[in-house]
Amino acid sequence: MNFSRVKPRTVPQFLFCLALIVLTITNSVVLKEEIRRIYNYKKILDFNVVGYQFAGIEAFLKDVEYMGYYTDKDMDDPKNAKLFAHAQFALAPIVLDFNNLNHKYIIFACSSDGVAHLEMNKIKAIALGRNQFGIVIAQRQ
Amino acid sequence: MKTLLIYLPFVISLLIGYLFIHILFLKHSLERMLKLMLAGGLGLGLSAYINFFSLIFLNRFQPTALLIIHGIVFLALSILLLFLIKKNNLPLITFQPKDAFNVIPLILIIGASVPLWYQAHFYAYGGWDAWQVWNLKAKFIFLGAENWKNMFDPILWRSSPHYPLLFPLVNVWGWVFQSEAIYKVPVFSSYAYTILGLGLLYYSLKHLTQSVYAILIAFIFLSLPLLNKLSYSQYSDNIVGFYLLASFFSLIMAKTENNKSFALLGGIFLGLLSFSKSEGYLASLVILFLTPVFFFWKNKEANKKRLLIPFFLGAFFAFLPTIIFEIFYSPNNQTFVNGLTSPTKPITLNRIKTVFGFYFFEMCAPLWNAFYKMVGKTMGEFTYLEPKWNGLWVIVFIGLIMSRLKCLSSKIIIIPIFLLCYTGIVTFYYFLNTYFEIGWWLQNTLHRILFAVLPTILFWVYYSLWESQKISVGKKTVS
Repeated sequence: MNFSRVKPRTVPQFLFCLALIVLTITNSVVLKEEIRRIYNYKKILDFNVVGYQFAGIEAFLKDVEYMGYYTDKDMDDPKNAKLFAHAQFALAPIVLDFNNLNHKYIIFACSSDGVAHLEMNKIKAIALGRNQFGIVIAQRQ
Repeated sequence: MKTLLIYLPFVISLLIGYLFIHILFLKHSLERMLKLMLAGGLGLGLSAYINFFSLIFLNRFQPTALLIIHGIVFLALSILLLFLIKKNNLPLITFQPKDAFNVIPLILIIGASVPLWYQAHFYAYGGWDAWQVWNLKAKFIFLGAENWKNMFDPILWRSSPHYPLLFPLVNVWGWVFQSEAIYKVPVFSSYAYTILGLGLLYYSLKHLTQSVYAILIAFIFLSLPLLNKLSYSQYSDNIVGFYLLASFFSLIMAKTENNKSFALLGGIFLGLLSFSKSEGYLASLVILFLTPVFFFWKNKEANKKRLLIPFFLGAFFAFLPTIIFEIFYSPNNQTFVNGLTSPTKPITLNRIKTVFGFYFFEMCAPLWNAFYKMVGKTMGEFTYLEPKWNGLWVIVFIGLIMSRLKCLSSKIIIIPIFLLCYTGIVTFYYFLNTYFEIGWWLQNTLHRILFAVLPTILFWVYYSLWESQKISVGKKTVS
């Protein structure tokens, strides 16, 4: 049995190893806070779920390849862009065509029910369902 | 049983990868753990490639066909291995006591990764690009049947449809025993690539320098919150990092030992790198051009054909999926505006200054913060920057300086030349493509590009500091 180990024999090697050790210790202090934060979150939520606002919509959408996604909200706001991205992920492999009302099925994720119904009336669509997050799934006649 | 079925595809990939590596290095005394780390990445890549070709020929994801092909590959490699063992009169199983001790660093790395595992299972769906890009593509392949190609529709421009598919295909392979696209598979595949990358970093440095202190680098990775976040985000940057390091290690070993197996492996890893992400594609092309020069730079003993033929052979086959994807499937990049010709979004001096400023502030935030503390309060408004990297890049730069030009040794010169070329091209692209507002773009991408090249850079720095170290082996001193 022959192990060859090279200890830090030069000053640069020693300093580099020392720097790595110090960095690991300081990193660990910050990491511990992050772990504590997640531990507190986990008291409320097991894990972060993406796209829960659109759960159940797929039941209306058998064999649908493309559908519309309409919103009057400002898409420069990351919250609204995130919601659209979550919708796309949750409903994949259906392709969501942003703000295109020329599809048979359309999701309305509007700032209010009034805005959604106004747009639905314009294109003669009927609501198939609405969930507690204000998401409406509609079908054009 | 359900838990077993989540991890079984990864075990199958590891076995196939290990058989392949073992065959390549049958007569080479390569450490078992190093083989294992290389095998993990190779196996997952091979599984993704099998998935890709079956997707093309069958025009949909077919789990049964995929499993049959894997079974055939496994059997073929097993038979080949047994044949070669018998032909060369080698023992079937070789085990040395040091093999057991060599597992200890991996156990330490896995132990230190517990916080990462914990975080990864809370952020189970990863970061923004996981559900907008990578896992979205995986869902299209897994659930889309014949309509999987809808993911290349230009209306999905936010999901970067021009990006290659290695990571999504790995995740789809991970779902082969599942009826749903469960989150546990991408969580584990990201984690696996992190462990494989850190394991490869340690065992490759241990092989080259005989120094066990390389394990400190793994502890840095697993303790820095930013690197944890980038690991559990389920992005492809992790994968780029692994295959970049694996490529360089293989090419360096090919040159050092004049070994055609490593040359072949280097070509294969380059191909896998090209299929991982656009940045990986760029990196692989740069390395592809640098490698022939590298092999013969200050290496008069090298037989030119001995290294070049297996390298290009491996690269040719491993680049095939990338070539097929780019020619037949990848749409044009919807998020590109040529700043040199655009009248509405031209390149400006401010853009150029912002890019270089970001480079400095991203990597040297602690130096800036020290300056800010000294003068900030008396010189108007300055901003304290969050030290995301906690000074890691400052230590890297100091390490390079302390290596006293050994970082430019002919054994590893390919790494600094690659970094120079890659940085130049990426920087030029930041100037050229004026589609995105530059501040936003740098804020969202620069740290990920740095994350992908960090394992290679740390490998380079550590090797430079330990290179040509005289070591004591028993009572002999050798260099």
